Amino acid sequence: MTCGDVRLEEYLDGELGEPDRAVVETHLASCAACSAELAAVRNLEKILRSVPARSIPDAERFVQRVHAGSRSGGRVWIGLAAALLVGAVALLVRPPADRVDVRAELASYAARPNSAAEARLRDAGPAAYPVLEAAMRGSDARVQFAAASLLFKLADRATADRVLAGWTPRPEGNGGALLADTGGDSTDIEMLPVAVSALELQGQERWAVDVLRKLQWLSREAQGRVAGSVVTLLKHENPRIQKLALDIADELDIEFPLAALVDLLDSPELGDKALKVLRDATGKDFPKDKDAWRKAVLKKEAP
Amino acid sequence: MSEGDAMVDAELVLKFKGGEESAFEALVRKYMTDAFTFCLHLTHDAQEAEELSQQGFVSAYRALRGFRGESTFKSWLYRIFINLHRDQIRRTRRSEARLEVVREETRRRQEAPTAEESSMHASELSDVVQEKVELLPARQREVLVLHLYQGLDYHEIARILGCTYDDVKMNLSLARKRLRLEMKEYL
Repeated sequence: MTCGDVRLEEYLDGELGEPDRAVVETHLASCAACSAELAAVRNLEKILRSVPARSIPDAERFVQRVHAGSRSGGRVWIGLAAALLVGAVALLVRPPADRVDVRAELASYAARPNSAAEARLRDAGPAAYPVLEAAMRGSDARVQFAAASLLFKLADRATADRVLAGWTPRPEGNGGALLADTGGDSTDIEMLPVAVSALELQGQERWAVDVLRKLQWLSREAQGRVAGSVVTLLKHENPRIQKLALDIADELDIEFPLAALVDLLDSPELGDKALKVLRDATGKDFPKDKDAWRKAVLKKEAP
Repeated sequence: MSEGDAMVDAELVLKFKGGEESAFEALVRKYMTDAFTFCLHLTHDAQEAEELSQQGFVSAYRALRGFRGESTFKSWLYRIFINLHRDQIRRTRRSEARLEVVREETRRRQEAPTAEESSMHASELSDVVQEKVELLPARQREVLVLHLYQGLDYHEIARILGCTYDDVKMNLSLARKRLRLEMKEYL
């Protein structure tokens, strides 16, 4: 048994039955690396569990509120009243839309994407769009991408499409800046359509590939959507986009539908790369024989 | 969760379906602390956690007559909390605001550590743990919280989240890897 076969975390979590547990223990007895790994995970668990438990501030009030909510119109009414109050206060202190300093909010967002700036720009509405569009023609890549991100989040689809179509490509590229921090939360998956659209723009590929690479780590849902987008791009009519999609497929560290690559095997430009990706992913060594690869891929992907 | 516990729950559910309203209150009292703790780990905010857990029980009250007992009451209840929390994130995009709050807090702490803060290692560590757990991708956070703080096994977590045993295993492992990396200075 190699270290890679050892079901260490299931062992730690008490998920293994007697025979499997004994197998792990036998391996641990002779493997210092796995023993150290187990100790490290145990230590992490100890620290994570050290967070003190919190009890409900007022248990009787909690029960009463559930009781009241169960018999009212579908909400815990005190919570609703509190929310309304907070909303009313927020309305009172919120500046009017025409007083939002769009440039300042954009600069704040470009320095670090933040929901406060985004909310103020949302309040400003379509009045903010021309400023954001103008910022996309500036020379600062971070501001450009911040403006693009905000337009995609806030503007209607027609505006976003128009902006994208008119985005003048820059020959020197963009330095790989990111529209937003990825890897934080599953809402970042909203970056996916922006990244896919940006792939079609000369000069923005590096950024787009960066985003896709990061998005795949967010969640299973993100992985599925990234894989789906790459499959769509592999069928794109533009060979340049197909090539980019193939490069991304090569880098993906997730389950990817390999059948999408088999059709590229007879492409003069992309066949060699497709063959390499298929060989790396399956460990098989067929030549460019589409039938053989279809069978191999089907076998690998069968449940 | 023991079989006996599940049987007590099943009896209370039956009593409630038979018209005994107090049976539901017994279920609320039994699970409210666990529910609040669970929601606190999801939301990182005591007031939000209290409202989310209350709303979850209210939803449970309304849906309980249709509960067919195909899973345990506890799994079913936790699924309600998870779904409500996901809806809340989708509806209000709170997650981004929450992330920003966490980042702001971190920045503030890093910029101006007071003497009191620097002497409160345990409290600081607890804050760091909560912050790092909070920043995990949603599915990893859900799996970790159900495993670590609710003590549920992989199969039960899979039932609650509507995913497979292997999904639970993978997400738990990813969460641990990420936390080990993020918290290496504390390990």
